[in-house]
Amino acid sequence: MTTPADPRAPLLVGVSQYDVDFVIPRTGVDVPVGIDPFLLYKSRDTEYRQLHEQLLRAFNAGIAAVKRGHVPEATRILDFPEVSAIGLGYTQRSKRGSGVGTHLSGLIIETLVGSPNLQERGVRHVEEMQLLSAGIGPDRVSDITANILKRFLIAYTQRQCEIWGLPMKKGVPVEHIYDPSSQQWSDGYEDLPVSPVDGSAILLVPRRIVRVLPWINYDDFIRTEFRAYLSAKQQITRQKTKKSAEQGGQSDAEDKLHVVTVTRGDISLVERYVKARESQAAEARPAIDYIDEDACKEAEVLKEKLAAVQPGREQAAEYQRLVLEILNYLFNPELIDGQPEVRTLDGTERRDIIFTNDSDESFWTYVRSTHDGILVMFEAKNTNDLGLAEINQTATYLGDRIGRLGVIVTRQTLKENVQRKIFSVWNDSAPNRKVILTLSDAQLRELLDLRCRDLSPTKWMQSHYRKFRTSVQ
Amino acid sequence: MSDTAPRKENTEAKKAREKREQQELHERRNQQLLDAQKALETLKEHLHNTTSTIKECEALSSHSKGFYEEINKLAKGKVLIGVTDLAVTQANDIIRDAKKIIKKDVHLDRIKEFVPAGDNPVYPDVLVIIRSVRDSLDRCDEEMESRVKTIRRQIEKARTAIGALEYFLDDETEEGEDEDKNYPTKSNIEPYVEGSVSDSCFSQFTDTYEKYFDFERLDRQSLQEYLSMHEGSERDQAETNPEDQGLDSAGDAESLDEDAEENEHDEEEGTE
Repeated sequence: MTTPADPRAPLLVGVSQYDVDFVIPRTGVDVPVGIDPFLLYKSRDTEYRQLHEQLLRAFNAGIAAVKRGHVPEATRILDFPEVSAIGLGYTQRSKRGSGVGTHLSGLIIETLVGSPNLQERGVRHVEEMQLLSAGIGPDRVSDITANILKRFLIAYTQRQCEIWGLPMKKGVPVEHIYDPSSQQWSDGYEDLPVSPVDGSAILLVPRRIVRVLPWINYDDFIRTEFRAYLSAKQQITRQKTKKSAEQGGQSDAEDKLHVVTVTRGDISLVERYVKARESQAAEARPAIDYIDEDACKEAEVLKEKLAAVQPGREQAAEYQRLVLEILNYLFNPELIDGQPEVRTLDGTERRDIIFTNDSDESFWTYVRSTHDGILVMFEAKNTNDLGLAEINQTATYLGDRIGRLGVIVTRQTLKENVQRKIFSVWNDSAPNRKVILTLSDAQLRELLDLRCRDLSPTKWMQSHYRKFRTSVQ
Repeated sequence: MSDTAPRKENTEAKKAREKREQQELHERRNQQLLDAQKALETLKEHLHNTTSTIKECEALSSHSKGFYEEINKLAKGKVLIGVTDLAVTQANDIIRDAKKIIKKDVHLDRIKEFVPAGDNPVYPDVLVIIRSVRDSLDRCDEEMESRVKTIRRQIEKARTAIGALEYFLDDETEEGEDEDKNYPTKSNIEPYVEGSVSDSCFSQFTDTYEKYFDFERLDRQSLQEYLSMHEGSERDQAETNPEDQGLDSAGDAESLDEDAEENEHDEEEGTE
């Protein structure tokens, strides 16, 4: 890794933000997004959902301590210093934290002490704290989450470094790692990439779990549930009159103070709002606005790379990695956590890329339910002459573990006998039908062009799938 | 030796030849009878299958009409809105059922079941497809009705031929009538025929204008050709595609419920 000259330049050079599963940290400035725990909550990925449960257990353990009157214990558990290593945030400042940890902990404890209702109920989402404490905003939600899930972020970062060949430094000190089993915080040394600026650890965050504002957020609460509440209490007019008559309007901080006083007293307001947001979960999508690269330029770069890779065994590994980049460019954040695997089956090398299908798009939702699995396998075959053996191999591989839809990415359009073989795989696999789709170089180029024009590659895949299903009827 | 001896020999040889010819004719008629009975069974089976198809066609046509009308009502103002899952399932059932009933309709062959793949088809698409299926069902109904008429005429013809052959082979016929047995009249055959006698099996004597069952025609043609409903020249009959005769797929036919078929036949005869 080299040190980029531009202070806003990404820390990872040579790979586009479009092509990877994680948010690429930038030097000297935070990426203006945060981790949204709601995206963990709504995920179909068991691992992500378990992370959300872990987050809640930790937070509610702190609440329980407050309820028992063990404030020092609560202060220890609810200790969430800023995790500067993730390089995410909403303010124009460096990755270095602003020392808000102790302050945040104090705010949370104060909120809990001031709200017996909250102590009784606990939280369903840590984001609720934004609605109950004047000092807690979206960035603090991200901090809380990053602290409790730091062990996951370390493992994720190490996995991504292996995939992308990013250099890691051995034994980088990492502070404040939460152990869910003992509910203790500890420090440790991990193999992690480090910042070229200050040598501090870098933690990568999956693109799938970041948003500009959390799905459950204060602004939205005010616009929806709280406005309805005020309307019901016929206070809107009185408030407006009071505002204009007195000082020409309260400050935002004073407004929020008023709001949290109400919510602490009537926790059902928060309850109703949270339930409403949960029911709209399908609309909660990860952010992509922070990607400020030129999509068309990246599409052209990927097309050039594709043309440069020669078919054959020698460049099979390069081809697999390029296919991963292209698929990330096309389908992330619908298909996430793409992991290349290399295995040998019957003496033949297989190069697969397994994606987790955590999409809310109708087509991927259909694939997830119809073809029995949260995983989608793409098999990279760097050959001009895909044969029947490869089809058989892929068909054997599809099943309960990785689902029954696989895509072979190969260089040329299939010969008729190979296409017929794919049809026969479908016909012979009833009742649990197996679908093998293929993507050639030409089709990848077409998809890249679509993405450049801001059209949906997922819709193209849906149409591609339909063509297969109608041809096989 | 007198010349009466060779003459006697000639007479005896002639008698022997005639006897042998009679025997051969008898055997041929027996074989023709067996073939005709077999063909009749096949035709009955085809009639049963075809009438069943007509019933299926009518049921599906009625169902698809109702479905089409309801979707058409719902479609008002919903040009780009996808139909419900239930509507997709029903549309696909209609397409699938139609394909099972109707064979060799190129337009229906081109229609495929909807594959929602996450997004159900929009109302106009469902309407267009179901309309095409209904057109295919209408075509199928017309074709099947015409086929039933043909098969019924073929059955009548087969029964007449069977009657004529049974009459020919009936040993209880009085002595001296053998000569007539080669040219049986309608009244000779009628007692042997189940149902109506088919006029198409008869020819006319040029002198008396009396009609007789034409065994010569039966002998000249294969049974398939004979039962063909092309009434033109024999050459036309020979050129007729055997598939059109309803005799090509007996093996595919379902087993017959004889009683039901007989009742059906009686009813059919009553209407004609």
